[in-house]
Amino acid sequence: MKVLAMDTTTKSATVAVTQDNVLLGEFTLNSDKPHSQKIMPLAEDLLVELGLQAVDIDLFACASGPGSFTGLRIGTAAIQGFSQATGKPSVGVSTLEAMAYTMGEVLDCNICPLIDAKRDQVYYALYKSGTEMIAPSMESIDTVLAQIACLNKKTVFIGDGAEIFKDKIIATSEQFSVCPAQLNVNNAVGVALLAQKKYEQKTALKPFPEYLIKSYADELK
Amino acid sequence: MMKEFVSKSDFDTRQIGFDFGKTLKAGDVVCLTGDLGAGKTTFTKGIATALNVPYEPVSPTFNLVNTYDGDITLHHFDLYRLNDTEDLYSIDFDSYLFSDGIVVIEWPEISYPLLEKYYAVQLEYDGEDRKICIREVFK
Repeated sequence: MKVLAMDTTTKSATVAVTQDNVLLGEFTLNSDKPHSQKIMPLAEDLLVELGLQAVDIDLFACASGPGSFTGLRIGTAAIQGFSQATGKPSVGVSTLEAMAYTMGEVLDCNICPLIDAKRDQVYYALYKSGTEMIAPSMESIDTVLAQIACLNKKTVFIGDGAEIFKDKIIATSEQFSVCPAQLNVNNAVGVALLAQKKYEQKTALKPFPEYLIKSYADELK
Repeated sequence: MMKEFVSKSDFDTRQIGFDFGKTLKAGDVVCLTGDLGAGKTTFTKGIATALNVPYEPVSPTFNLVNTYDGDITLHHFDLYRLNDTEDLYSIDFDSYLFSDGIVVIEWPEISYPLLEKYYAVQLEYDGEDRKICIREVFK
């Protein structure tokens, strides 16, 4: 099964193609150019380089959020477009779960993906060996770190939020560590692998945006 | 910091906008208040010229935001048609606010809870001259 996956929910625009859970290729641009201008040329270039056409793909997948609102609309719309044009199925997976999945399910520690939501807020969740321990939510970084420190477990933080709040994370607990910088830029291969798994298990969701908003009114209290 | 200017014409308003635009940096937010016809869009045209935007900005009332490429990217908002702060979610206001551009906002009232630091530019028209008052606001 060939999967084309994309993630436009954070600053990085990333597209990957996998075949039977093996990566065939991945293009990632972590630049300031808008996703709307980056993502389709990346997808096209990747297919050309692999000698594939859109109709050769069996499953289209995107990270459906949380993250940048405009970004996740672009990703879900693009994947729905591919799906409609080719008649092939499309699925969406949680950005946070895909980030944790990139780390593998074998690590014997908690994995906490963090996405920067500005104003010292983050989108976060907690996973252990692929199991969701804390459901995706949005909170201030201080609240998140205090909550996870209470669990008193070895925890690895990943994502652009982990990069931004690195010093704070490490200072909070000796049990906490932060992924090296190269893993903190989202890439689409995790989305592709997780999407295939969920699709085969028939637990996949439609590619609709997961905004996961907390109202401004709540946020500013 | 507070500065006051008197404008006797469109040209004056534009020139004051131009001089002010020259002082702006990436990430700055400018809130323009004043009645219809007070010169908010004209003032913005002056800012755009200062940033070497190769277009003449037009009112963003219909589009909500117009983005112009210049020496620094200019995002020109008009929030008149939005109802409350929650509406700013649907237009992804944060992605502009935290970008490397300059954000200019007409009818900015609903965005005040989200701003930490901005320039408040008040334009008043007394039937003859226009008074333009610029001050820096920190929360």
